[in-house]
Amino acid sequence: MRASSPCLLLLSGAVLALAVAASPTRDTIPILKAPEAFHEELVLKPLNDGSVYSHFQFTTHIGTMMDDDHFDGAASNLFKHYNLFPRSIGQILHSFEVEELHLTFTQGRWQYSDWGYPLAPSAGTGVELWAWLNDDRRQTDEHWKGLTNTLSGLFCASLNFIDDTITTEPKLSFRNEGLYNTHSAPAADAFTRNSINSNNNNSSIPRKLRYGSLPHENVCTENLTPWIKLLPCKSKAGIASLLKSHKLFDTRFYSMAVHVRSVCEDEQCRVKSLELVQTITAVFDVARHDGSFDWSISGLFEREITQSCPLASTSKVIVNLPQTTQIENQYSLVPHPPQGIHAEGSGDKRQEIAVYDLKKILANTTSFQLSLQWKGSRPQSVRAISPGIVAHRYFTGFGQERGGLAIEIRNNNSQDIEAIYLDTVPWYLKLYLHTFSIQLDGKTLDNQRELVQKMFYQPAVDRSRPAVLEMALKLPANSLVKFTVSFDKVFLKYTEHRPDANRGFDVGYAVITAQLPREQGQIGYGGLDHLRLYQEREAGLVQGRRRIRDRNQEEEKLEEDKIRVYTDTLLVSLPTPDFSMPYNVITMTCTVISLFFGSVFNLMMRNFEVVKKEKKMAKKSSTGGDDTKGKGKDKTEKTE
Amino acid sequence: MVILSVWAVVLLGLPLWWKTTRVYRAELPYDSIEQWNQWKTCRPRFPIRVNLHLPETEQQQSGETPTLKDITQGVTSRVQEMRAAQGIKGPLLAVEFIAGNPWKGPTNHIIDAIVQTSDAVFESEEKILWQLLDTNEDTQGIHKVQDQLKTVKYAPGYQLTFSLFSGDASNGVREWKMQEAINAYLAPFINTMSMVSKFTIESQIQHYASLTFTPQLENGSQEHFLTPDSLPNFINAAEWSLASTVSSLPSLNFLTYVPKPSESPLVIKTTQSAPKSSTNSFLIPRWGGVAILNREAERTKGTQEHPELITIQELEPVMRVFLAQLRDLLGVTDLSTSSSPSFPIVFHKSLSEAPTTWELDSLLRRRSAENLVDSLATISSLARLVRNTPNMVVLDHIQKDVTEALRDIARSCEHLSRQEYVEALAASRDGLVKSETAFFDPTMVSMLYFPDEHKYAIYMPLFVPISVPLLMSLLRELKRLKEKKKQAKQNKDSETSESTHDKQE
Repeated sequence: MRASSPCLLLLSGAVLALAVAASPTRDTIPILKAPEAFHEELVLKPLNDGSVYSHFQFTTHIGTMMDDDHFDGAASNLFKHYNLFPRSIGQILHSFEVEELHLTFTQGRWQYSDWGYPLAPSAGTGVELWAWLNDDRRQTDEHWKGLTNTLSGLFCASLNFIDDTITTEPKLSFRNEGLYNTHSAPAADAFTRNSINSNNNNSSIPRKLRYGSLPHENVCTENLTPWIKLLPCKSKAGIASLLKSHKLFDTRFYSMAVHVRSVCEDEQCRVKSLELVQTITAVFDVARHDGSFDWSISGLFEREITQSCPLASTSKVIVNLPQTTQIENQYSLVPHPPQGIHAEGSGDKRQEIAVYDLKKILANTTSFQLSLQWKGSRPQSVRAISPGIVAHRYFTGFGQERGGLAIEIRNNNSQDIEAIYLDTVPWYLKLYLHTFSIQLDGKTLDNQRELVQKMFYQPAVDRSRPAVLEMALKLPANSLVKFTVSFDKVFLKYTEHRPDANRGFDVGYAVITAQLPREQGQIGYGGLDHLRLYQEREAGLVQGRRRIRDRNQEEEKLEEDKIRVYTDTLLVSLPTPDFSMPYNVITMTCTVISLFFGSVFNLMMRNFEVVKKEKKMAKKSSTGGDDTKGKGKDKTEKTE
Repeated sequence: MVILSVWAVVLLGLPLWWKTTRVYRAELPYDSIEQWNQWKTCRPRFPIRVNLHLPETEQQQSGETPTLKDITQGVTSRVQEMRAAQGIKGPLLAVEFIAGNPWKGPTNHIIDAIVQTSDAVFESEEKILWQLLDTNEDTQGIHKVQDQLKTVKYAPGYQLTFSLFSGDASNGVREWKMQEAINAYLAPFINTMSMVSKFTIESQIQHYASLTFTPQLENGSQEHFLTPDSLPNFINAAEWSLASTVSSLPSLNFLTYVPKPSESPLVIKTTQSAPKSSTNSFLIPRWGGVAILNREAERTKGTQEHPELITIQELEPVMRVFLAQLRDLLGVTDLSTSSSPSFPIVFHKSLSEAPTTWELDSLLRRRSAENLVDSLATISSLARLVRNTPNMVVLDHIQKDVTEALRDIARSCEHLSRQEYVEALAASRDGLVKSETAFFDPTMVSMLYFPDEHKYAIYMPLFVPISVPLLMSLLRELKRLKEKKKQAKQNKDSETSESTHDKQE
C-alpha cells in the first residue's frame, strides 16, 4: 500500500493533485493529496440583548501524506516548503510531533443564558491549550514542554507557565476533533465515541493528550499581531482587513483561537488534509452609546472590506438574521443578499441566513457595506434563547482555612443528556472526595450511580500535579443537578505567592462536554465544521455526514452538536503571609540571641564574692528588713 | 579564662563556617588553558602534500636532477623568507612534495615557478590563518573584523530559508518551483558542503509583504530603483516572518522579492545615473541574500503560460545569485578571482557548481583554525569568569566539559598536522560545542549569586551585638594584662631598686 508513496512524494502538491485526479485507478491509491486552499468567513448575528456577535473563521488546509496511522509529515515535503500554510505553525507541528493542536485566548465571560452557544468551540476565560501528541518515542512530556514554550514565544503569551502543576490528561473530554470518526463510528453517542477515540482509529501509533489552561492570562494586541501574521493575506485584504485591535478589544467578549487538526476530504476518508482554523469571536455592545440596536460593518469595525483576499478560495459574509416573532418586517438588511435569504430548520427552529459572496460582490463594487436597521431602533419581539445546558460553579464557605466547591448544572432539554464534566483543581486546594455529594432538584441523592456513570479522580500531589475530577453524567430532563465537595486551603511557601499576593489565586473553569440537540436560533455551534458548508470544498461531505447521522437516528431526526460549556473562573484567597517576615525573623532571632549571649557573657565575666556580714547587717539595720533585695544588690564587681 | 574559651569557640567556628558556607567549585585546568592560549601545547600547522608533475622540456642540458627533497627545502626556505618579510613568523602552511617525475634542469627555475604558484594559491589563506592564530593582542581584533565580515560564524548546522516575498497578491504570484530549483542548482554544492556543516532547507511564500519605504522612480525608463542607502531598510523585519520558531541553528535567509505592480520594475543602482545592477541583488553579511525578481518583462511578452507560477527557468538567474551568495556566506573562497600571479595559472573548475576539493580543503583548514581559536577563547573567558566570581558554583560537568574540550582541541591540532582535515574539523567542532555548553550552562550565570553585601546584611544583626562585648572585654583584658605586666615590671623595678637600695645600704 505504501510502496506507491515515494514516487508521489517527488512531485509537488499541485502536480500531484492533478495526477491523482487524472488517474483512473483512483481506488488503488490509498494516499491522496488535496490541493492547498484558504477560506475565509465572517458570521454576524444580532443577539437579543442588542449585542452583535461576530465570528471570523479563516481556514487554511494543505494536503498531507497520511496513511491510516498518522500523517507522514517528515517524509513528505509538507513541513519544508510552505505556501499558504504558515511556516511557524508547521515547524511547531513537525518538531514536537503534534497531531492536533487547539489554542484559545479568551477575554471576558460568555453569557450562555443570554447569548446561547458560540460558534467557536472554546469560551473559557484566559488561555486554553490542548494538544494530541505523538507518543511514538515516549517523548510526550518533553514535547509538551517545548510546545508550550514555543507557542509562548510565538504568541507573546505566558503559555510557558503551563507546567506539570497545571497540565492534565483528561480521560473522557477533549477527544480528537478531526473528522476521522464521523464515518467509521455512529455519531452522537459520546461514550462510543470515546471508546473509539481511545483506540485512536485502530491505530498502532500511541497518541497522548495534554491539556492546560491559564485562567489569569490577559489577551491583548500583542497576541493578535502574531495571530494575524499567520494569515496568508495578513490583515491587508479580505475579511481580515476588518480586524482592528482598538475595536476588537473594546468588546464584551473576545476570543481568539488557533486549531490544527487533520480532516477527511471525502466520505471514505481517502483524502485527508491538515487543517488550520483560526477564529476570532467578538461580541460588540452596539446599544452602549445611544440605545439603538442598529449596526453596520463600518460602525462595528471602523473599517470596510475594499478587496477580497485573492488567495482565498471562498470569501463569505454570513448573517444569521434575528428571529423575530409575531410582527413581520421588524428590520431591514441593506444590501439584500444577491442570492436571497435561505432558511435552515423549520417551525420553531427556523433560522434565516443571508450569505454574501465577497468575491462576486467586490468584482463589481469598490467596497462591501452591510447594515441592519430596526424599525424604531429596537426590536419589538424576538424569540428568547434557552440554551440546553447551563452550568455555574462557585465557592462556598468562609475563612482562609477551608472552603467548598459547588457546581450547578441545569439541563433545559426535555430529554436526558449525557455529558462529561471535567474539573481541574490546583494542588493548593485539597479536595476531600468523601465529602462529595449530589443534589438533584434540591434533594440529596443517595444512589449516585444513576447520575454519575463513570468517575475518574486523580488526587493532587503537592507542587507537582493538580487534582482532576472527571465524570460521565446522565443529566435527567429538565433538572438541576448540584455537586458539592469541600476542600482545605494549603498554606503556601512564601516564594510561591504571586507578586500581587493579596489578589488571590485564579482557579480555572470546569468544562462540560455534551451532545445537544440543535437549539433554537442556532446554525450549529461548538464545532469548526459547520462553516465548511460555505467553503464549497466538501459541501457534499457535510451533507453526507448529515445523511449518515440521520440514518443512525431515524427515531429522533434531531440534529446534534457537540458543545463544550465553560463555567466561570473563580478566585480563591489563600492565607497570605507578611512578606517582610523572613528578614524580620532573622533580625529578631539575632537580637534575642545576642542579648542572651551578652548577658551570659557578662555573668561569666563577673566575679561573685560574698560580702562581709557585718557590713550587711549594718546596712540592713539602716534600710530595714529588705533582706533578699539587698543580697542581690550587694554584689561587688571584680574582674578576674 | 572565659574570654579565652569564648574566643576559642569563635575561632574554631570560623573554619566550620567557612567550610559550610563554601560553594562547590570543581577545579578548572587553568594552567593548560593558559598554555593553550599561547599555543604552547600544540602549534597548529597545516602541511600540504602536493603532487608535482613536471613536463619534459627541451632544456635538459645540464643533466642535473634535483630531488624532491631539494625542491622542498628550496621552496620552504624561499617561502619562509618571503613570509618573514611580511611579518609572518614561521610558515603555517608547509608545502611538502610527495611525488613527481624526475626533472632535469636548473633547480632555481623550478623553485621559482613553484614559489610563485604556491604564493598565488596560498598567500591569502596563509594570511588569514596567521591573523587568526595571532596571539599578539594588539593586532588580533582588527584583522578579524576585516576578513570575516561576510562569512557567517561556523556552526555544525545551518538552516537555509528561501522565502518568496510578494509585494502584493495582486501581482498574481501564487506558487514557485523553489523545491525543484534547489534540487537543480543548489543540491551539488550543498551535498559537498555537508562535509563541513549540515544543512536543513526550507522555503516559504509570504504574500502582501510590502516595503517600509517607496522606491524612487526614474522618469526616463519608468524604472523604480533602490540606492545603497535604502538597502539597509529593505528587510521589513517586523512584518516579514523570517525567524524560525523552533530551530536553534543559525539561519541563512535568501529572499526573492517580487515587487508589486505599482513598484515594478525595481532595480538596484549605486546612484541615480549609474547603470543598474546586473544581478539585481545584494548580500547582507552574515545574514543572507536578497534578489529582486521583476516579472513585468515576461508578462508583457506573454511568454508565461501560468502567470501565477514562477517556473524554474525564471528562477535560474536568482538561484545563480543565491549560489554565489551562499559561497560567500560560508566562506568558500574563489581562488581564480582572488589571485593575480605574474603568469597565468589555470584552475580546474568542477563541472557542477559544487566546490572543488581545493576550495573545500582550504575551507576545512580555515574553519578548523577558527573553531580552535573560538573554543579556546570561550574556555579562557570561562576561566576568567570563574576566577572573578568566587561565589559561583562550578559543577563537575563543567570541569568535564572543559577538559574534554581541551582534549578535542589537541586532537584537532594533531589531525591538522597530519593533514586529516575532515577529522580535524570534526574534533574542533566537538571542542567548540563542548566549550560552549560549558560556557552557556544555566548554572554559570554570575547574576544567580548574591553579592557579598546581602550576606553582610544577614550576618550583621547577629555578629555586631555579639562582637561588641567580646571585643570590648578582649581589649580590657589586654589592657589589664599590659598593666599587670607594667606593674610587675614596676614591682620588679622597685624590687630591684629596693634591692640596689638595699645593696647600697
